[in-house]
Amino acid sequence: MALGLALIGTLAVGLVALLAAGLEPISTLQAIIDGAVGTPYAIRQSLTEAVPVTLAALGVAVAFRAGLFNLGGDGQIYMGALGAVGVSLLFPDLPPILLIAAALIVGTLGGLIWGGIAGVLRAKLRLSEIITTIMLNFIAFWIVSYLVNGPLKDPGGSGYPVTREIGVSAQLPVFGDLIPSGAVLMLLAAFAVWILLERTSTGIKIKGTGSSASASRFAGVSMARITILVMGLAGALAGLGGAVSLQGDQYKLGEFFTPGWGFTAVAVALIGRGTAIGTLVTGIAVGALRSGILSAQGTAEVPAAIAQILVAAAVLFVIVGNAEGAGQLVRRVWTRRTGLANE
Amino acid sequence: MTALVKMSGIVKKFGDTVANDDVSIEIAAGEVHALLGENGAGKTTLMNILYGLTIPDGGTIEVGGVSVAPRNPADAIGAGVGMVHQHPLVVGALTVAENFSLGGLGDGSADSMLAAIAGVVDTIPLDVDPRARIDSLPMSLRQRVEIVRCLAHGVRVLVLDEPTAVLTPDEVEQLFGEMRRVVDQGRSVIFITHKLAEVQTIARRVTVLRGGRNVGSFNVGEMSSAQLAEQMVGREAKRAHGNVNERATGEVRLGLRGVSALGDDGECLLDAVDLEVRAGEIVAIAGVEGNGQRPLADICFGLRAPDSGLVLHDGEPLANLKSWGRSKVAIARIPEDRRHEGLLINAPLWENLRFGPNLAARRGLINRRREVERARLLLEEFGVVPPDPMALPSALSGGNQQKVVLARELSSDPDLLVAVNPTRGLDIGAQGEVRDRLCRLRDEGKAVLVISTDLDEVLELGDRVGVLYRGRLESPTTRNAVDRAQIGEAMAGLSAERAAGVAQ
Amino acid sequence: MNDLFHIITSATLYAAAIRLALPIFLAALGETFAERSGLVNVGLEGMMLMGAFGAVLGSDISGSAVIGVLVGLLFALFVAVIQGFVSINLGGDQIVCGIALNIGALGVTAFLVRAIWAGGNAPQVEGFSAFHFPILADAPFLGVAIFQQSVFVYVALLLALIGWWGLMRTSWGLRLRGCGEDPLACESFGIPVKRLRWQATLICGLCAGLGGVFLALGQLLTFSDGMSGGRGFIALAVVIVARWSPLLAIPSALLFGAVEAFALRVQSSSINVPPELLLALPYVATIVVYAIVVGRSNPPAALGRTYIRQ
Repeated sequence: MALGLALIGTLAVGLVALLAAGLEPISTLQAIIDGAVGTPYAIRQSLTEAVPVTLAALGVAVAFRAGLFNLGGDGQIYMGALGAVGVSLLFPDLPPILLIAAALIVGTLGGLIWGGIAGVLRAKLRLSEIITTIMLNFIAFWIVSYLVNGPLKDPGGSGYPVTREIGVSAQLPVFGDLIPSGAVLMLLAAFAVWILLERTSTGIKIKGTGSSASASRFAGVSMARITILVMGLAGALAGLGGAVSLQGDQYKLGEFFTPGWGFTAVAVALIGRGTAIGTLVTGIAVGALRSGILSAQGTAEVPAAIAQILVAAAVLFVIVGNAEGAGQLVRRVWTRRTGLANE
Repeated sequence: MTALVKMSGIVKKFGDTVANDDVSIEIAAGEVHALLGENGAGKTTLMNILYGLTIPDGGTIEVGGVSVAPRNPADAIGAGVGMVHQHPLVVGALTVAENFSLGGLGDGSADSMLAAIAGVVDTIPLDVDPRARIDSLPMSLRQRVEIVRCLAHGVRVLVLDEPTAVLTPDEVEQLFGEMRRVVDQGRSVIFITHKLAEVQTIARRVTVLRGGRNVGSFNVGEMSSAQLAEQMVGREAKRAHGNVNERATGEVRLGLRGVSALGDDGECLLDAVDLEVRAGEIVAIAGVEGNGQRPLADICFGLRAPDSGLVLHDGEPLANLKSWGRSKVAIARIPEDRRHEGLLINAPLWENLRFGPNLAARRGLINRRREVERARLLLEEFGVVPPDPMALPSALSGGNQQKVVLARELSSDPDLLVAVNPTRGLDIGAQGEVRDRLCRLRDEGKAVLVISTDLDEVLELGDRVGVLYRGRLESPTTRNAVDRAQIGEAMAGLSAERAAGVAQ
Repeated sequence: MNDLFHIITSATLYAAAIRLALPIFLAALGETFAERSGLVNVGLEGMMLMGAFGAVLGSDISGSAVIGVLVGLLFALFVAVIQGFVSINLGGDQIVCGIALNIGALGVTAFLVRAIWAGGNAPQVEGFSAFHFPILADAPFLGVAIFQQSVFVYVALLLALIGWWGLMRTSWGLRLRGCGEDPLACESFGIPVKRLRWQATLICGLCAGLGGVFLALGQLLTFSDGMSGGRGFIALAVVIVARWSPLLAIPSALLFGAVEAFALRVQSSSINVPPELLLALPYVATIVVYAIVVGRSNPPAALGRTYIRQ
């Protein structure tokens, strides 16, 4: 029921935002929906938009179940894209299958390392990952910025801080012109995360660590090991998201490679309550929303920021729905207003 | 009799549980009134309502004939009611004087505090440095701080919630004496307890709560222990469990030799502890909370390495914590805090039943159907109600939660069981079941170590009993060779002092 | 080497350090109060951002920087109120709420910028210029470093002193600290835990908002998306480094300001280091200092724990 209320609340906020932007709600909504799923091309774009966010969100979800907050999605996405673009540009003559696989793997490794750093800092030095992952985001950004303004800069790119475009052999195929391979990877990743959390003993340990540190300590679970594992995995998934976006969509790495996907991923994971299914569904929905809004910009000037506002509002509603005191408050207000004593 | 405190028709529900079911109670002026009942009978809830910590769903309160409805303890104190809790509600990181200041007495300086409590310390002496941090004081002193604070505010009714849990037998005597003096001054004392002996020592009248209801108020002098016990549990109280195993000759499953442990500031927590637990016996260790039980338990659990000395399994020394994994002695552990250490409160029971040291051994995927089935069988075997593998521990009673912990730990057929306060907070029925199981383990030839702050439990379960005092363990002796008084002295460190005196 | 020496000994470096440290310090000051009362407020970044936006909006509409300050504070308070309501009254997850508010602030400010100003860019506005202390401003070295700063700096110093005195020397502060250590015990003392935590939350919103206002009106004189640049998170680290003390927050924040100022100076000097890597320096420094300090840190005992009275 809490979820239903969250949905209604979010829609209400969206309505207010649309009206505030001076837009007519019904037709705007129509334009967004059309832009999201109206044509095969639209569906493909929605999926493309959803993939990096959802992959990163799956990582955030796993970390969240372990009681950790991975706010470093953006940094890990950058590192993933960096790894992928490096491989793609350095070895353009490899057969496509090998090249694509290598680029994806190196990208995933890049993200894994970046997330792993935060994990180690937390496990060994007790540094809050909330602070360190944000710091690592900025560090990653500046590293990429340095590289695309310098060594990796595209000489023929009219001066923009961006790398050369990767060759066709490194680009990810689209199945039937509808389903980007990234989307397939996304589904596989969601399935893998589900298996991890629900069908392995490691998953029980992860969930236990997030639920009760003292019980996990008592059961002999190594908190340090779980922390590093989980943060590394989160980083790997985000890194994969970055690699996929590079090879399946953007084809080159620049300073503004990620429009805040990392943070959106956090919101998606929180709305999805950290479950694989919830995260997947929310991620696709958010991707479709963003894509729809972008497309709708042609017919109606819908500010892209609305997606962010909606997402934030959704998270707030979800928290409120799950808050301990919320039920109490509702009950107290209800009895006061209706004059009923609790019999 | 003019009632000083009158509570009528008090109702309080927590979700589906009815903690207080239309409870009415009257306390006269100038008397020590005991509030007797098992764990979970609703005594603390009732008094928390009187003290404004909990808002009742129904009912009225009168203090001194005036109707009151305290919404917080400040209101209650204003109405003349003070309360001292089992775990004293004082702020650990602040000093004694600052705590008094927070409580409305003085401004946080030592002088203002002493001035504020000057009138009270004749009756209740408080020998403490005002600038000391509360968390550096033992529980008994913290309790004293709370008592003094209430009296300094001039309360007419003082409620004490199970105060003797943290006191040695001598300190209990001292407290009783002080309560008598308080009452002589015209005030009333409400004494929450589940111990019959205390009721008969200190109280003039007693109200018995059972299952959230008031089953009667009696003059203590007119009731025998057996009658009181029956009122409390509603049936004839069960007797002791099992037979004492005089001389166990099995292998020494767990051995501690010269084990010492140091705290964060280098202070001595355990001092050269020697201990042997053999197969086929229960060794029970008594002691007032805070005398080293935690580090001893952690060492026996394998959660912490001793700072010096040896831990042996079947005679083999364990070099470090990692070697515990390779030990041939399978060990089951029942932690002190079942809600936070023993169980994952938000995970379904079937996952909880897997969440033990044997978890690491499981490789590969989990077959959920098989796990759930296994869980159901275990839950039924251990009498968990309801035996639903998908239920959450938070939906179970304390007794059932403890049974889940037992089920998990015993499912691997251990050789050794180490348990801390295994029956704390359980109702009498569950207590009996748990103790039965421990005795059964002993009869099956397992080694059992029980560390408990409940002296009754120690005396009931132990084949051999020992006492932990200030980190030193008096070598466990056969149960039948000691009596309650001796153990009481040992808990207060008196026998150690006497031994030191003799040595001189 | 010569260049390095010049940079380190120039008074303008320290003047810049103070300027750059100020927003971080203000946010940390506010957060100190919140955390001392037991609340973790991750939404600092959002409060700063909203404060900056409100300041630019107010200054633009009214032409007066003072109005800008007021509007900025109002915007920041709006965020604080939501955080407070969810954390204190509803007992919701404090950290998740803060994260959501950060995202929300990013979205709301981006949305409003495009909605209000044509072309989607905020204009340049009236801000606060540097304030020259009479006489002292001409002192050698210190004059440039300390006595030619924006009035915000002196206000911030004052706030630090008042904050320290209020927290450590008044009974209000004692009660607040009690709430952060053991809210249940305080409740039993009759201390209104909720009310005190609300006060702490609003103070936090005001301070962090002021930090954002200064970012906008004291430095950049306009608003750009995400201009808080992670300062809200650096402030979280500063609180820990400063051991939850309002006074120690000054040198702690200055440390980060100095690193940033140093990086900027090196960038525009002839020393051959890639500018981007220098810009990463403050963030690296944050991690390093945090790591050094964390071993000996003693947070308030009830920090971050949900507290709801039955």
